Amino acid sequence: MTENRNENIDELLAKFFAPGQTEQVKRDLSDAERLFAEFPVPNPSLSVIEEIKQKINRRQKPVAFTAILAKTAVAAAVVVIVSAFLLQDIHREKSAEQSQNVSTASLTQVDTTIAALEKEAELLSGEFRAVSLNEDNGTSSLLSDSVGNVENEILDTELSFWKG
Amino acid sequence: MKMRNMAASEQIINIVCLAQKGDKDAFSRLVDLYSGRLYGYFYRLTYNRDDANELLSELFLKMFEKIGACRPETFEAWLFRTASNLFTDFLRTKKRREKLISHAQQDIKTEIEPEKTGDFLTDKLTVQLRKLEPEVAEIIVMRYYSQLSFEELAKLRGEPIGTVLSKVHRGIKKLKELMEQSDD
Repeated sequence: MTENRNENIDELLAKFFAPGQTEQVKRDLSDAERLFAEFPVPNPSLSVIEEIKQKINRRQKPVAFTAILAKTAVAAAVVVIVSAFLLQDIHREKSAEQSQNVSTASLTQVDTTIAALEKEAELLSGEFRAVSLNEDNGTSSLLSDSVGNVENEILDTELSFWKG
Repeated sequence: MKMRNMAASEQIINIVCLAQKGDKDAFSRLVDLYSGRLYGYFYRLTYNRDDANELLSELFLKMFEKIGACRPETFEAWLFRTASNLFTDFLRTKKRREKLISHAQQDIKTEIEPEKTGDFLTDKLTVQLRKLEPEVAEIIVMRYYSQLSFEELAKLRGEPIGTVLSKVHRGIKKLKELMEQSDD
């Protein structure tokens, strides 16, 4: 039991036993080795060995299957991860495009409203100017109507006066 | 000696790598290389040729199925750990069966001889090994047949190296005493 591989038995025993003990322990290990050699176990029968080999040969190799399974699983995982990233990117681009469209449409609407309001404001300021200067540039029909009405009333009054 | 061991180790690593790729000849070579030592391990612990044959067959089939899980550099330790696990399962099943038989004996109150088949190993060493604690006997037998270092044995058993060394030494001392007493 002292002839084992990858082992320095002296060094090992020195770590765990007192200096006086190591030689005795080494002797005990050698004695055990000698005992096992003295009482050998018979070898397995050839028929048993052949039967084992036949059983192995009859079996399908599971190693290849598991390797394929592992490789497939890794490939599937990579595909899933990559597609998840791609989908995320597509969603991000789409939402950016949508928000851009929405903002353009709302800006156009605002522009139209502003233009209409500006026109109205212009008209109002024109009318206001006309009223304040007592002008009738034909844009204020209410004013011209009232003036016309007053003129007609004056004519009617004059005529009825002269008729008596 | 060390150079020869290194060459042998490299050869085994190559064979294991081939076996991992599914080479059936490599499996056959592993069976040839290890059947003697593993059979010795099982036969010495079970004392029964049929049980040893059955365990040996089961072990090599397990090796065939699970070889992809082992590192080629530590193949021997892996193989003997698998053997040790199989032996532990075997002992557990045997104890359960014996318990059932003893219960049945109590029930029917008759003497039934436990079934004994196959060749039994009855040499002096086996008789004395059976007197040791089963765990200690297993480590001693494992150490001899696996040719693993104490460090590898400690890793395999998940115990500190000092504990394994002390168990083996105490066991061997006891075994020597028992062998000497039986000579008288």
